[in-house]
Amino acid sequence: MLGAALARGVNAPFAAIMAVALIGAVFAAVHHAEVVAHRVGEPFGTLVLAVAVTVIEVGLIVSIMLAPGPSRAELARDTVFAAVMLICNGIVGLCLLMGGLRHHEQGFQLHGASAAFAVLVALATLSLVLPNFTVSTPGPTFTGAQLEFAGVVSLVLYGTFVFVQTVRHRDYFLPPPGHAGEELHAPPPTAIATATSTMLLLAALGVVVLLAKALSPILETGIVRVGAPKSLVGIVIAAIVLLPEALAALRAARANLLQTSLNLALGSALPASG
Amino acid sequence: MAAVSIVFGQPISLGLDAKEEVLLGLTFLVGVLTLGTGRTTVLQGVVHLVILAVFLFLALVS
Repeated sequence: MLGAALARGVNAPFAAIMAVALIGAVFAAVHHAEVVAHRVGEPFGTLVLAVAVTVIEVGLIVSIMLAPGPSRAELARDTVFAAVMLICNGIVGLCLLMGGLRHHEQGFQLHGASAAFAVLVALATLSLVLPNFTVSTPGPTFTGAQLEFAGVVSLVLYGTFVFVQTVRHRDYFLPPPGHAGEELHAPPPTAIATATSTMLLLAALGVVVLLAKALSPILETGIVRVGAPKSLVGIVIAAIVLLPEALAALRAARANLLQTSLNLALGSALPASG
Repeated sequence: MAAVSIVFGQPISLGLDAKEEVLLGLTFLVGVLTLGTGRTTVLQGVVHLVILAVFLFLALVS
């Protein structure tokens, strides 16, 4: 991004400051989401984080898609695909590697992890693979009716998953007994701290979307200038959005809380693809 | 995303190309194997990271 800004010359310092501010705002948003999450407890906590990440991501994509200029119809797809790949391979792989190096063999709750994974596979296949094989419209697109249907189905899938995670089978998503870290026993924040964090969380989300809107043209010109494929824009967006969650998941893996890692990882993949 | 596309009349292109489909399928296959055991070691972590590396490499050098 810095290189992209430099390529434009005049705006370089300004763009660099904006890029730093954007990453700062993403971290601030996730930190405040974590405070709120700690207050409400697992597994609702992961849900708060996931929703915050989704808001950032959708905000970024929509602001870029609605910007004037050439069509960016592929951006949403590229971002979602990059997010799925970064989560399923990058975050999960790193967590397993770090955790494995430290604790040799790690256990997690089979029910929770595979339930989340099943929903993720279904969602990703429906929205990313199926459009190639529908025959009403040529190419990788859905017709209007198909798009509406896919949207509704995705909502149903994700809604069911959230219901199962928070109400019906909560225990599937808690760390296995005997694995609780000291983090879980820290006193929950006060009501005032929670309220402040909620306000700051909303503010940070707004800042992220506005900054991204200002930065996206610079990023795009930079990528075109370097000669990289346009799908890189999606990967950059997904990476920025997922960075803080990846750090949180890694921390949990090092503390032998693989369940929390997987909740974080798969939890943020699901709404993103939905 | 679907709602936004419909409301604003923006075209939205969803299908992946063949290369990405293969990678997605591979990811899910390995993911099922990883999660299917309930216990994980360094090996699964490395396998996932290799797939990620392939994905990033092919995104730059298609």
